[in-house]
Formats: sequence, structure tokens, C-alpha cells
Amino acid sequence: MRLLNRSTLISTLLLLLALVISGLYIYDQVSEEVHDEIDEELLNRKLEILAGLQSQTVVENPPLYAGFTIEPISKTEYKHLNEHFEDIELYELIEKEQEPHRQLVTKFKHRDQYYRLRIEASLLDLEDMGEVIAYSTAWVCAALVLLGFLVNFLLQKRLWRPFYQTLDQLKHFRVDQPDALHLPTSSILEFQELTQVVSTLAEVNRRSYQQQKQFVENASHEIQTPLAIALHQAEELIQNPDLQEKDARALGLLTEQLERLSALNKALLLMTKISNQQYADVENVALAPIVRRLVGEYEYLSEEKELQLDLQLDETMQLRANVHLIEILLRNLVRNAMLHATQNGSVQIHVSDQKLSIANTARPITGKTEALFERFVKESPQRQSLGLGLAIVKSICEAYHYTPVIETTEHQFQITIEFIPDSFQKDSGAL
Amino acid sequence: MKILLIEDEPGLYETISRFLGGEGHVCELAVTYDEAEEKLALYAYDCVLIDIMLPGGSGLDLLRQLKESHKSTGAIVISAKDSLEDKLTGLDLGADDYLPKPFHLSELNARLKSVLRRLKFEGSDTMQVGSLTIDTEARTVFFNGEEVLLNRKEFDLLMVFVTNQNRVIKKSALAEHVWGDNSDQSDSYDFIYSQIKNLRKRFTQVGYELTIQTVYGIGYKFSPH
Repeated sequence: MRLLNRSTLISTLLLLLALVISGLYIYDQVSEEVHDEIDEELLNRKLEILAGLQSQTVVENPPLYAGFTIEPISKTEYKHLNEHFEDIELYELIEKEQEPHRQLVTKFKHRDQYYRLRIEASLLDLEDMGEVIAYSTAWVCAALVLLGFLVNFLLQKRLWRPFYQTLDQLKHFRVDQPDALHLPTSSILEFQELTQVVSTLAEVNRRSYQQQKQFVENASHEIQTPLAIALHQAEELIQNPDLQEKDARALGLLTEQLERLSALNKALLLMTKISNQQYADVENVALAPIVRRLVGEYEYLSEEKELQLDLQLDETMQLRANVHLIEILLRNLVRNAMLHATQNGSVQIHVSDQKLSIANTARPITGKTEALFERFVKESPQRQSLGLGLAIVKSICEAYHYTPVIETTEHQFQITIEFIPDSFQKDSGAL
Repeated sequence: MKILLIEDEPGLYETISRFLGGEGHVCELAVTYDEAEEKLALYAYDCVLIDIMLPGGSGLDLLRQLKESHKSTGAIVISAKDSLEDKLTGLDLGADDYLPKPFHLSELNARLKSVLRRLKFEGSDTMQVGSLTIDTEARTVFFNGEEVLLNRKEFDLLMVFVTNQNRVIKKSALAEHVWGDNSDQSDSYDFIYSQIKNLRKRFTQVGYELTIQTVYGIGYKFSPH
């Protein structure tokens, strides 16, 4: 729920509650006031009636309805009767229904006779008043809710504009891009602070990203240089014509391990760069030509193993991605398939709409197939294999939200990669 | 050939200059940006090997200067920053080749010779290796006037041997040169073996014995006759 809608909803509900309570309060106050007035009037009437009776010898009810009744009562009744007010319902001829009335019950003594006097007054005024109050409260409610909406949608929208502009900028913020954030200026203190905090944060992020990138490159440099020196020295030693076989083998092993270290370093750096999103340039990459070229490059593998190649390539299939990463991805997959395919086996590469699948005949796999995506997990008995090929595939897939799936049967190994539609990538803003 | 090596790492420049000297080149050395700048301004070289990260500046700036003043000098960028941007910038600035560290000396040798050949012979280059005649541009090999038919990979393989005659070339260097930068691929060593066997076969077909010998299983050595 948007902030604006929520604040509107909450303030409207609170307003309604406040109005209902104040309506009830006003009604209560008014009704108390009206009761007081009527009671006072009833007492007045009592005095008037009693004064009127002074001159008469016989006390009896007036012939017409005069709003009071007089009844003679016994002495004991007279003693126990206390003057009091009552709320009663009386039938009204005009309205043809029971209507609320206020009644004063009192007593008097006239020429040694005891009487009870009841005087009524209509409470209709009060009921009308309640209605008026309820209606006007409702109107005020409606007017205030309308006003609330207007305030929210016009005023608040304007007030919150810097916030939404900042949010929009942040959505498109890329730590690897140099474009500065265009944050709105505002006279509101909170937004000024927000702008300041956001731009500081963006700057810090960008700087630490740069430092990390620098570190990755420096680490590469610092490690590759000593490796290069060691390799060159070994290469020079190998040239010695008087080299003994024992020493030559030791040198061979040494070289092999140094090369392995170097390859490891390169592969790990590559993965770091991928997860740091340092391959940010994207373009439309057609898969078919790359696959065809790679298959050509590894022809020596397929020739040697006499593999049957089955290529079904959708020429129109394109990805929006970094061309180098896609090449690395495909190279790892194609090479793996060719390397691990069994002698006289087959390799099938299918590129169809948003999907790539590479299958090769293989020895049965032991262990969990998903583990093959982890670093340094290898199924191959190749001594020099780093076990990083599929980990690289996985980090590239992760960078682009592709889903790689390994399926194995007794004699077949297959990797399928589902590429997501480009539109999703645009929405998610990743890479 | 006169070569300037611009490299600040003693461990590297000692081996490389000794190696280049052994190959019959005159190798001069510059270990800082300023020293390199001065030497490039004063002397002419056939080829310059430039490291990118130098004390005092970037090798790419030196490359820019060099290509502005001496267009015909060859330039190979050697860098430990195996970063794509550097490679592309280097080639954009007119470098003839880019070699990421660590590289095999035999690979450097092959690339250097290829650059020098391109610069000196401008396209039509035939070279005599023992009794073989090789046209590096047309990628053809002749023995006694008869063409030895080689496929692309076989010719590449032969060229590594030809540019590194009488040197032991490691199997990994051969694999890398012929099949690109595939360091995670020890099994290609077996294929090297069968490729060399095939290569020998092509030459025996025309009656020439290609004298490539294995050296204790770590590499191969070509001594033409």
C-alpha cells in the first residue's frame, strides 16, 4: 500500500471516530440542557397550577386536556410520595405513535384533602435535536473526508515529491556507473537529510566498489608476477642440455603446479569480477555463431574421441548480456561436454527459444549433481582439472538470473539453462 | 633485432633479457616510466615490450607516445592485469599484440617473431628452416618444391616449433599456443602428442623427417636439419 493511501485511510478512520464521539458528546450535552429547561418549566407550571387552585373550593381535573392531572390520594400515599421527574411514553394523536414525554409527579394538600399532581411536557424537541445533530455530524464527516482526500492528493503529493524523486533515482543507481545521482532539493529538513544521507551512501558505495575492483586487479597483478618469474626460471632450467631426467621430471611437476596456481588465480578472479558485476556492458548476443565457433575450436577433441555432434541452433536466439561472459559460459559448457564425452559417444547442443541444452554421453555420476556447481567439486579424474568450470557457469547464470539445471541418467549428462525473457531483466534492473 | 624491454620487476626482466639475448637480439632495458620515455626518444628499436604498470606512469601512455613518433616499431603489451579493458585499449593504441602474465618464454618468442616478421617483410615472407621453405603469410610449407599439406592447427603447431628452434617447449605452452588460453585443460597434452604424431606423418609423406624429440615427457624440442 502506498504511503499516501495509508495515511489517508488512517486519518479518515480517526476522523470518523472523532466525529462520532463528538456527535454523541454534543447530543448528551444538549439533552441534559433540554431536560433541565423542561424540568424548570414543569416546576413553573406546578407553581402556576397551585396558585390557580388557591381560589377554588373544589379540586378536580380540568375538563379539557391541559397537560396535567390531579388525583386525590390517601394520607399514607401522600406521606410516601416524593416529588420526582419521570420519562414516559404518551400516545400523540397527530403523530399517531408513542412519543417521549417528561412528567413531574408531585403532591399538594388542599383544604385537608391530599392530592397527587402529574404535569407532562413533550420531549419531542430533544428528539429532533438529536436528529439534527446526527445529520450535521454526518455532513461534517463527509466534508472532512473529502477535504482529507484533497489534502492528501494535492498537498501531500507535492510535499512528498522529493521523496519519490529520490526513490526513483535510487532505483536506477548503479554502483559501477559514473553518472551522478540527481537528487531533488527541498526546504523540508527531513528530505534535506535524506538527500544528504543518500548521496553520502552512494558515494561511499561507489568508492568501496572502486577500491574492491582495484584490489582484485592488484591482487591479480601481485600474484601473477611472482608466478611469471618462477615459470620463466623453470623454463630456462629446462633448456639446460645437461639436464638429468630426474631433475627434468621435478621441473615438469613444478611447472605444472605453478601453471595450475596461475589458472586457479585467474578463474577465481574471474568469478570475483562476475559477482562484483564488473562486466556491465551489455549488448544483444546471438548464441548460434558463438556455439558454432567454439565447437570448431574443440574439433580436435571431437575428432580424437570420434564424437557424433548434433547441433540444433536457433539462429534468431539472442540474449541481452555481456558478450565476454556469454562466451565464457558457452566455452565452459562446450568444452566440458567434449572433454567428458565418452569415446565414440555423442554431444548434443540445442539452442532454442530462451533455452540452451548441452548433453553428452557420460560415465554414471556419483554424488549429488547440484554439488557440481560448487567450487572445487569435480567429478572428472583429470588431474589438472580445477573443478571451477561449472562454478564459473553458475556465477554467470546468477549474475543474469538464468537457471542452470543438471540432469543425469546412466549414460548421459545434460545441462539446461533457461534464459529469462529480456523484459524481466529490464524490470529487475539487474545488470 | 634491437628490442627495448620496459619492465620494473627484476625477476622478470633478468630472465626475459637473458632469453632474448640468447635468441640473438640486442635487448635494452628500462625499469621506470621516465627511463623508458627517454630511451624511446633517443633510440630506435625494432620492437618494444611494454609492461602496463610501471613506477612513474602507465605503459599505455608510453605506447601512445611510441606509436605517435615511431609507427614502424613493433609493440607488445605484457601485463599482469588480465583485464579486458587494458587489452582493448592496448590494441586500440596500436599494440601489435597483448600477452597476459604469466606467459611462456616460448610464447613470447613466437609472438615477437611474428610481429617482427610482419613489420619487416610487410606481407610476403618466406623463411628457410633447414631444408623447408615456409611462407608465413600464405601458410604453406614446401620441401624440395613439394607442398606439405597441413591443416590450420598443424601449421600453428609447426610455427611454434619453427620460432623456437632448439629449445624445449613445454607441453602447456604448445597447448596454449595452438588452442588458445585454455589453462584448465591438462588432457589437451594427450592431444598434443597425437597432433605431433600427425604432423610428423605429414612430413614423412613427402620424405622429410621432422626432428621433434620429446624431452623427458615435459616438452618437445625441434632441431631442423
